[in-house]
Amino acid sequence: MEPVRSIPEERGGPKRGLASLAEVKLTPERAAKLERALATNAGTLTWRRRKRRELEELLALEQIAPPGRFEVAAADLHSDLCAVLELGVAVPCRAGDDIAVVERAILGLRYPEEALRRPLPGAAFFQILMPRAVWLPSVRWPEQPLCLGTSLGPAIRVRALVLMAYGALSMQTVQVDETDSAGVFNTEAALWWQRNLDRVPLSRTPFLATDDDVRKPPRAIRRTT
Amino acid sequence: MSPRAESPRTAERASLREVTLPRKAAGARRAPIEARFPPFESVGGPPVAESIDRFAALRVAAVGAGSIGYAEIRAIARHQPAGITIIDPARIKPESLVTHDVLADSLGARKATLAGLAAKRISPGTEVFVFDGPIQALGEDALADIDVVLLASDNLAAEVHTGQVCINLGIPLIQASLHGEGLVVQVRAFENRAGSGPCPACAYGAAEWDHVARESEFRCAGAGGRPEEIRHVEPTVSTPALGMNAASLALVQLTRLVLGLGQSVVDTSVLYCGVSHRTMVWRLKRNSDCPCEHQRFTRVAAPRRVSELGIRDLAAAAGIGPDPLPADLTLAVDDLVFVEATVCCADEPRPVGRFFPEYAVVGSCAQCSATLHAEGFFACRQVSGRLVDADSTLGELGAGAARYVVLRAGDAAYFIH
Repeated sequence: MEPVRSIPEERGGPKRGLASLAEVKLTPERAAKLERALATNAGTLTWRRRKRRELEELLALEQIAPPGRFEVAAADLHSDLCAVLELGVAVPCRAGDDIAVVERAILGLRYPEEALRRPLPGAAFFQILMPRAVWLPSVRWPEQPLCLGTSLGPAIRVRALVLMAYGALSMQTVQVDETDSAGVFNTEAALWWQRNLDRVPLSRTPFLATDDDVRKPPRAIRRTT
Repeated sequence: MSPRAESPRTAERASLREVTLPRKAAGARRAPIEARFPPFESVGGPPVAESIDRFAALRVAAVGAGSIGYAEIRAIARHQPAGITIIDPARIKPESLVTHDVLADSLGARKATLAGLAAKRISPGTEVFVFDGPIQALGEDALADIDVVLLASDNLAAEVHTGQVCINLGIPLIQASLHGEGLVVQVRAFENRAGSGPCPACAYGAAEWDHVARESEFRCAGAGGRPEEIRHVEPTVSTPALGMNAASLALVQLTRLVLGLGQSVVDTSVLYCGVSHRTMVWRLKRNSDCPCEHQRFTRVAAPRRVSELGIRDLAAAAGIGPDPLPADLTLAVDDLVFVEATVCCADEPRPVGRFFPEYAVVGSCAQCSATLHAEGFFACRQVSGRLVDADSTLGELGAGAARYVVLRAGDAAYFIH
């Protein structure tokens, strides 16, 4: 097993990881973004609190992520938790008989209140707005919903959905078996990727690391050589 | 984009079906209930005639018609209520003969239909409606006229959903359950007069929510990308006596609730354990972390069919409009989704601004001709009022078959139908 790499601490305070998202002190710009969204936060007290917590965590995730990895471009808490998210991630798109890898995706996230109390289909949360012609077994043309599994349990955290989306788009997690009982959204893409498994994943870079972090040998190995 | 004027799936929407009997059976005489009804006056209850009248006016829904629910339905039918609505998606299996009070010639029958026929035969004057599907498939209006719900489901998702609808509509809920190897039966009664009370999900811990998560999986094989839900429900392991015991206890609690006998049963749990031979009673408490929407809707009678109303009419009916409309106004129209826009070849989303059944065809892309469906980021059940054309009726916006609307503003919610 690969040793766990340490993550630089300069962004977002001393601790940097998903477990400490709630402790991240938002920068003034992000705090202002949060306040703007909270101005229209509506629903029952429980739901308002939950939407606030999720958006706070999304903004904290934006803050601790490497530059260009993740941005909350817009957020609306009027009814559902809605956000437009920009991800710095490798995304395969159809280009003739081959694929072109695009390094940026814009996702529409919609998290309804009912997700708190019942499982929803894996494609219930994200729609890929850009780029178009995404060539993945888990993405269906033309609406481009992104399927993250057969079922996503009640009250799943939005930060988990973002990481799952990152893994699915970069093909760090992928299901190309078109005969799987759960099915795939794009059978043609699944068959194409079965023939091109050597190109999977498109990136090995974890969400909270940079490409440079991945290229560097892990510290534990450096010490012993 | 060429949006369709009307929803194509309107005719397929889940709804209740009335049970009728063959002409000969339909002519059966009403049993003389007054000959056997106890005089509860001696324990502070109403006179016999009034007691019978209270049951005769009662409309009961039974969610679950299995080992407990089937016995409950037959028992409540003997009270000759005004109506019984039965909801269960399952069929009678060979092993059902071990726990259900049914005969072998019922194998393969739909439980809800079978229970409905039994109820109708017992009480021909009762209006009996059935739905052979999961309660989640029905709109909230299916329970709108119900006075009390009997819940006896082995499906936690159905339990959560039923509890949610009963909170929203302010319907008392009596839930019966059992634990086979412990010889335990439990009946919980939820008042739901205010949304602030407890619900079935309030008692859930991590194990129960994990169970809810594992009960459902979705396959993306349905038409138009509609996910097909596969439910994995663990069957009830029990003896028949335990199921009947739970049903009988639930009916005793119902009788106490309807006639106001003894100490109040609302928001209480009664548990009998056959192994320890003890009975326990305690008050149910609201869990402030419960993810259910603990809000009772204010019921509003629509001045006309809701499809003939616009957003201003709806706000006026609810007493929160029409001018100005509350800034935080949202509305959910029946089981429809509002499609704000579609995304395809164009750089910008193309506006739609209409209601559709979820996953229905919305139109086609003007550039690539791809068929576009009502799903994704720009489609939602609960839509902000500022996105809906205030000068059009819901019918003009695609919701011609809408049966009800839930309007929300501030801390209030209104059920208009």
